[in-house]
Amino acid sequence: MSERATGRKLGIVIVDDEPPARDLLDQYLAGLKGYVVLAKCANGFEAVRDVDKMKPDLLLLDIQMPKLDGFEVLQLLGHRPEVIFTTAHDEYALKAFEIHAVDYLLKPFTKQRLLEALEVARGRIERGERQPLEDLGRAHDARSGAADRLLVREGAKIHVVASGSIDYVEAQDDYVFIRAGKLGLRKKQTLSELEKRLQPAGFVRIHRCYLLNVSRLARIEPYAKDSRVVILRDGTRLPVSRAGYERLKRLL
Amino acid sequence: MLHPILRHRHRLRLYLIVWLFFGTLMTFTVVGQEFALWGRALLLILPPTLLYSFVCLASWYPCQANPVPETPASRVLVAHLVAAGLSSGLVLLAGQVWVSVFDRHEEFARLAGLFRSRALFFFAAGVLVYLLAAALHYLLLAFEVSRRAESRALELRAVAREAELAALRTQIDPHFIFNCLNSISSLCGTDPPAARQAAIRLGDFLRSSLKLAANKTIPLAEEQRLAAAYLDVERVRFGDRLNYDDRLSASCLEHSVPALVLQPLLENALKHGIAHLVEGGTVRIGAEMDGGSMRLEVTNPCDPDRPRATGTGIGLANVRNRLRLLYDGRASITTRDLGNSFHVEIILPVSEARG
Repeated sequence: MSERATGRKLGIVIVDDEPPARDLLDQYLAGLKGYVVLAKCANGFEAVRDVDKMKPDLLLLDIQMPKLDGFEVLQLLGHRPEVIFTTAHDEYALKAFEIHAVDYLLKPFTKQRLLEALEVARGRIERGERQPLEDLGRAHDARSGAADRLLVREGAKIHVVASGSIDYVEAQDDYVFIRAGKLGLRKKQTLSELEKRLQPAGFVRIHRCYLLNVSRLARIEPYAKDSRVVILRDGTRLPVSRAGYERLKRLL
Repeated sequence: MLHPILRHRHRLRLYLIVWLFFGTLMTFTVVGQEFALWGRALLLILPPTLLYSFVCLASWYPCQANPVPETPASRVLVAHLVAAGLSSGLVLLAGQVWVSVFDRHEEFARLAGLFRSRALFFFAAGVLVYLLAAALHYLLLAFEVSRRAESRALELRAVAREAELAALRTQIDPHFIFNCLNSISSLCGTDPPAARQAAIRLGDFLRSSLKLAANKTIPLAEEQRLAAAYLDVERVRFGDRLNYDDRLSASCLEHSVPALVLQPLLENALKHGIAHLVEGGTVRIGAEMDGGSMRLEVTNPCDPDRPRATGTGIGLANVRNRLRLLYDGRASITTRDLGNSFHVEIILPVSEARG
């Protein structure tokens, strides 16, 4: 495989929980002048940490991993590398291309196949076709259906919040504020996006700014003429819009 | 279809006895209590009666040609009345010929006269008996049809059960094979002897697991070897993260278990347990006798924060269905999720699972 002499060295981070799989990528990449492996990560947490620290051009990413799956890793990144998925599962390919992944390599794959993917990535990088960071927000997770957990990053710390433990979510400018018992977390996402994912898990949009876990509802009280508040089990009071009240009524 | 009476010797015997009785009855209607005449009367009556008994057997064929309730009732009636009239008439004619053979002897003259005068009565009795025979044939035909349907239903059920078991058994996760091949591909570069070893182990495991029949039970000791082979293959890719520990009580080893009953449970233990743990952990397999049954246990550590929505349950549902089909409710499987560990327990009846 010819390499472009003009190309600069591209930094790569390898993410795979299986040692032989990481070794294989190492072997394939050894001796290629245009690429340098910056880090090898064995799980999702390490991947999030190392990608943001090393700011690689390219990520070779497995999907099924401990702690965070490949898509969840992408969701939490503050830096946007080009992504090549390497996995034994063919069922996530569509999802991979939705977030503009460069390629999707099915294990076991040949060196030739990896080199082709690397060339495409190099082409994109050299033409300056950086993908926006925002499209990774759509990465969600590899699983389909209701979101069973949310991931929130606070600096170096990653919170894994089970959907069932969330009381309500409030919209705040570009962020959402997630309340789960004593825990209060801010996440950069729109309430509508979150509503789409949490609705099947028993959440209802009671107000333009509030998404409520219905199981936390204690009672509904009239507030002023034509408006109401919900009282949660812990005493929290949240406003209910007229449309929100209709949705709530339909659900109960 | 063969004739249902001619096919079975005991049925034919019974049939002929009934006809002998009928012949005797006919004799009685002719000579009454004049016992002196009985011997001669029987000689005249029984041969045509026996001839008629075989003619009546032939009513089976029109019965088959006009099955009820598919054929219109009017057609059935006409067909059998015509057949009955013809049969009775012809045999009556033959009877008259037979009687005329004895006519010349003086001692038969009175009897022959008696028979001739009762010709119409014999004809009517013949028609009636023929129709009775036809009804008997219809009865036998219905019996035959229902017996066939029953045996076919049984056969179908057995086939379906076999197919269901086969489908349940061969569900080894293909991703396991893909990942393993990827590991072997990697080892080819770093450690060729280990690559060869891994390929051989995978081959061994696949061969032994694919050749086992669906309804097969194997001694626990052999199941233990299969489990070890599977975990050895998985250790290639999990490395030090995967440990296992089997504590199978010696008294259990010779008892039979469904072949590969542990495999889906181990697959789950890795997929939903070990695979989510950064440091990995130990999968434990246990077996002990508990009265007349055997308790099998698979336990694995797991991450309480692991995603729950992943397709759990296929492997378990599979094992559950197999146990239901093989033991008909006398085996059970239960699971317990303790947050950071997961337990599966199978209770198998041992006495009947043997062999």
